[in-house]
Amino acid sequence: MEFTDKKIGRIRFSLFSPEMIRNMSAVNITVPDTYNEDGYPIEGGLVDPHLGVIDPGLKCKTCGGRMGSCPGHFGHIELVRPVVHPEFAKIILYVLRSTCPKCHHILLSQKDLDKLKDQIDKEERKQASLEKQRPIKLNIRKMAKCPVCGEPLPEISLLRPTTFYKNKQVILPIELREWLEGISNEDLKLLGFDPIYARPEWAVLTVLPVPPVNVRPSITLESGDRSEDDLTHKLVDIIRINKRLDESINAGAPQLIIEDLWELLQYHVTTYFNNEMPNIPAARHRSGRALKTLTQRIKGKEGRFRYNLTGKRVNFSARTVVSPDTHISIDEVGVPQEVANELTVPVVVTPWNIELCKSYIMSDGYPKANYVILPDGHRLRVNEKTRDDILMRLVIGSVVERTLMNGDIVLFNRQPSLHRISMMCHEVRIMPGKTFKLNPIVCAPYNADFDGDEMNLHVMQTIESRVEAMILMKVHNQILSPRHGHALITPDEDNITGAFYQTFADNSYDKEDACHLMAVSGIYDLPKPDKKDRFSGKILFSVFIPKELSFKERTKFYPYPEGEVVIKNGVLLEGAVEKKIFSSRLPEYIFHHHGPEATKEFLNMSSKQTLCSLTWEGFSLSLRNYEIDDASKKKIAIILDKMKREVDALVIKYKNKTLERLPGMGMRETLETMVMSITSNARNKLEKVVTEGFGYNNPSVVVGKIGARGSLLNTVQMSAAGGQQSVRNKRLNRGYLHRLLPHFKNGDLGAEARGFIFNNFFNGLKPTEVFFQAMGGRDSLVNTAIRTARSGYMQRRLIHALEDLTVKKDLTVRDANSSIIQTVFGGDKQDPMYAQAGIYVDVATRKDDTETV
Amino acid sequence: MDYKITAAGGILAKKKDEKTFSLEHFLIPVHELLSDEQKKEVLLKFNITEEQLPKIKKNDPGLKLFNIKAKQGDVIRIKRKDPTGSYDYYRTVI
Repeated sequence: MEFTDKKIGRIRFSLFSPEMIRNMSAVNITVPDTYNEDGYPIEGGLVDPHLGVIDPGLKCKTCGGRMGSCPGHFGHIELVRPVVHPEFAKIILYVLRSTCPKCHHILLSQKDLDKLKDQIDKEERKQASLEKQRPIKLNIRKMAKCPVCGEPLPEISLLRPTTFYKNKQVILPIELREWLEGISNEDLKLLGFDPIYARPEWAVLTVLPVPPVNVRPSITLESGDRSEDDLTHKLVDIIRINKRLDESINAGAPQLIIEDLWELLQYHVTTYFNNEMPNIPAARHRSGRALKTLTQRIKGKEGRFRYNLTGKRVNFSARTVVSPDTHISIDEVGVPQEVANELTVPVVVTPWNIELCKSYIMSDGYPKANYVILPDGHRLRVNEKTRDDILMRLVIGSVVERTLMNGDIVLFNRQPSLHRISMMCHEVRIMPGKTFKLNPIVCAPYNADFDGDEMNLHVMQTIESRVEAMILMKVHNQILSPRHGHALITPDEDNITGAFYQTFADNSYDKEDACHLMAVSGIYDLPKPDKKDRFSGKILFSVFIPKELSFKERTKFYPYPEGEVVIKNGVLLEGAVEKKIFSSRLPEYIFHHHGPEATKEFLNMSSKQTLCSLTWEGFSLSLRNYEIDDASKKKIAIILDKMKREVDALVIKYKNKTLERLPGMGMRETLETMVMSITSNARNKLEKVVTEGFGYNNPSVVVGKIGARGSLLNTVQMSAAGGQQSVRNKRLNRGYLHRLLPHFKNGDLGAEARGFIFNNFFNGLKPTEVFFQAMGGRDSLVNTAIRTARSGYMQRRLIHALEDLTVKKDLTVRDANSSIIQTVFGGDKQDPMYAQAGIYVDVATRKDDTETV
Repeated sequence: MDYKITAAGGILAKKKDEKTFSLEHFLIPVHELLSDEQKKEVLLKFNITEEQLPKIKKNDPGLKLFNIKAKQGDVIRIKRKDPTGSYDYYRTVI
C-alpha cells in the first residue's frame, strides 16, 4: 500500500464558471436518449462513449482506458435559456438586496464605504496573524433610493425555491444574470465573495455539467432490458425540454409558450439538484417512487456519509446467534466449525514454520490454508488442483492465510456498543453447533441474553493489532468497571444461589462428592476434612479465597435476620456467601491484590463449583411457595387495615381543610406525599411479614434476599398485596372526571379508589385492581421505551463531541488539534477503575497493565 | 443576598451587591491574570500556542468578580478545587 504524508492545509469550495464547465467537458450532450436499437451508445447521448465506459471490453473514447482504468469524464449541456441553481437562491437574494438594479453598485454611500474599507483593512491585518479568514457579511438597511445613482429601490422577494420578484413582478433569469454580471469585483469583495473563484452570476446556470456514466451506471435486468439510473432519467428530461425550448424560440413561438417551457426547464434542473425542495412537487418514476437525485445521494441516514463512509462493512468478520456455555473460560468464545473454515489469519512464512505452512496447504481437512499471497503480491486460492503448484512457489516471506484455530485472538461484540466493554478480546475455541458460545458470566457487560441475540466476531489481521487487543481489551482486564471501579464481570444469579446453598449452615459432602466438586473447577488438591471425615461446603468454597484474606462482613439473610460472614486467613468460617461477598468483595480484592489473571481463574473455578453444587442441591419454585400461612395472613390483614384507616383519616382531614401543610407544599400535595409515605411504609412492613412467614426455606425469599434473582417486592406482590400502583410517580388519577373508574364515588381519595391493590396475585385481583396494574405496567413500559430512545441519541451526540480526546503523557486531555481540554485529567488525575473504598490511584502511577500480561 | 447560579456552575452576584459578595465561596474558583512572563512559562509547559488553550470572554462575569481588566490574548489562571484534588486551569481571553 502507498502512503502519503501530505497534509490538507485548506479546502476551498467555489462555483464553476460556464467556461470551466465547457473546458472540463469531454462532449456536448444534445440527444435525449441512451442506446440505439442495436444496443450501442448513441453519440452525443447520455451514455456517449466519451463520458467513460462501464461495459467490460469497450474502450473510452476520451482517454482510451478500459473499464478499470478510465475514471470517467464530464460532459455538458448548453442550456438555451439560463436557469437559477436552486441551492444558491438564498445567496442570490442577498446579493440582489445589497445592490442597485440600475447601476449595480453596492448600496452604500461613499462615507460608509470608506469606513467599511478601513475596518476591513484592520481585520485583514489581524487575520494575517491568526491565519483565519472570515467573510464580512453586510447588513444593509432598507433604503428608499440608491445612494450612488438615486434610483428608487424596488422590493426584492424570493418565492421558494427559484422565483425572484421585483416589486411583485417576476425577474426572468436572463435579467437576473445581467444584473449580477454588472456588479464590480470590488463590490463583490465587500459582500463576502472572492470574485476569482465565485461570481454570483455563475449561480444562474447557462451550462450544466453532465456527470460521467460511472456515477450513474445503468443496470441490465435478467430479461435483457436496460434500466437507467435516476440521474440519467432526470438528465433526459432536461435535454428534452431544452431541445423543445430551442425549437420553439427558433420557430418564433409566442412569448407565453416560451416562458412555460422555460419554467419547466427550471423545474427539471431544480429537481435534478434536489428532489426534496419545499413548494415544488418531487419528480417521480412511473411507479410513483420519488427520484433519488444529487442532494438525496449525499444527505441523511441513507446518504453517502452515514451509509457508505461512516458505515463501511468489514471483511474477516462473522455473526450468529449466541448461546451459553458454562464450561468455557470467561475469555473464550465458542466458534462453530463453519465459521472457522471461512475466517483466516495471515501467517508469514519463515524458516521455522515453513513445514507447518506446507502442511496447512496440503491439508484436506482442518486446519487448512485458504489463500497464499506470494511476495510479488499474487494471491492464490488453495484447492486440490492448485496446491502442488503453490507448494512449489512457496518461499520464505510468502503469507499463508490459514483458517481460524483454537487459541486465536479475536474481537467479540454485541450491539448497541454503548461502552468500551461492549467489544472485548476473546480466545477462539472451535466447538460443535452453529452458534457462538460464551460464558454467561460475561453477559452483563455485553448486555446479552440467549433469547435469540446475535453477536459479531472480528479476526484481526496483524500481529500488532492482536497484541494491542490482548493488552487493552482482554476480558480479564475489563472485570472492573471504568465508571465506578466495582466488579462488572462477576458471578451472578445461579452462581450466587449455588454458593449460598453450598456454604449454608453445616452443609457437608462426603469424600467422593468433595473430590467431584474440586475436580469440576480444575483443582486436584483436596483440603483437609473439617467435619470428621466429611467436608463442609464452606471449606470447599474456601479454596478460591486468597490465603492472606481475613474480614468480617454483615450479610442480609443468614443466620436470620442479620448475619455475618467471617473469613479468616482465606477460610470461610461462618455465614453463608451472598451477592455482596461473591460478586463484589472477593473478585475486587483478588483483582487489586493478585491481578486480572487470578481474578479470571477465580471466576472460572468458583462459578463451576457453585453451579455443580447447585445442580446437586436442586432448586425449584412452585405455586405452593407463595401460599402464606394463616398467622401471617392475619398480620397482613392488620397492616393493610391500619394503613387504610390512616389514609382515610388523612382524607377526612383534607376535606375538612384541617390538614397541616408540609413546607413548600399545597394542601393537595401534602395529602399525596403523606399517603405515598404511608403506603410505602406499609409495603416495608409487608416485606418483613412475608420474610418472617416464609423463612429461609422459601426459595423465592432466599433468591430475593441474597441478591441472586428478583426482589422481595415480587414475593410481596404475589403473596401479600399488590401495593400502590402509580403513573408518573403519582397515585393513579386519570380516567373519568374526579374518579378512576365508575366503581368509585366522585372525588373519593381513599387508597382503594386511587390505585392501591389490596389483594395478591396468589388469591387473585379484583377487576378494578387488574385495571390499576395494567395502568402502572403500561407507564413503566412507555418509560423504558422513551428512555432508551432519548439516551441513545444523547450518547450519539456525546460520542461525536468527545471522539478525538486523548490523555497525553503529561496527563493533559487534548483534542486532535492538541488543544487543551483539561490541564489535569479529570481534575484529579485519578482513575476510577482502580479506586477502591476511599483509596485513589493516579492514572500515571498505577501498575501498568502490561506487567500482568 | 440576591444571586443566581450560572450554567457554568459559578455564582453571579447582582451589580449592586458586588461589594458585599464573598469571594471565598467554595463554588467560585480564584481567577488570576498572568503576567507576560508567567504566560510564556505556561505556554512552554504545555508546548502550545495561546489559541490551543480554552477560551474565556473578555466580559466574563468571573473576570468582573475579581476585578481583572484583561485584553485579547491574555491568559487567565483559574485555581479549581474538587473534593479529590485541586489544579490550575488556564484560559485565553477573547
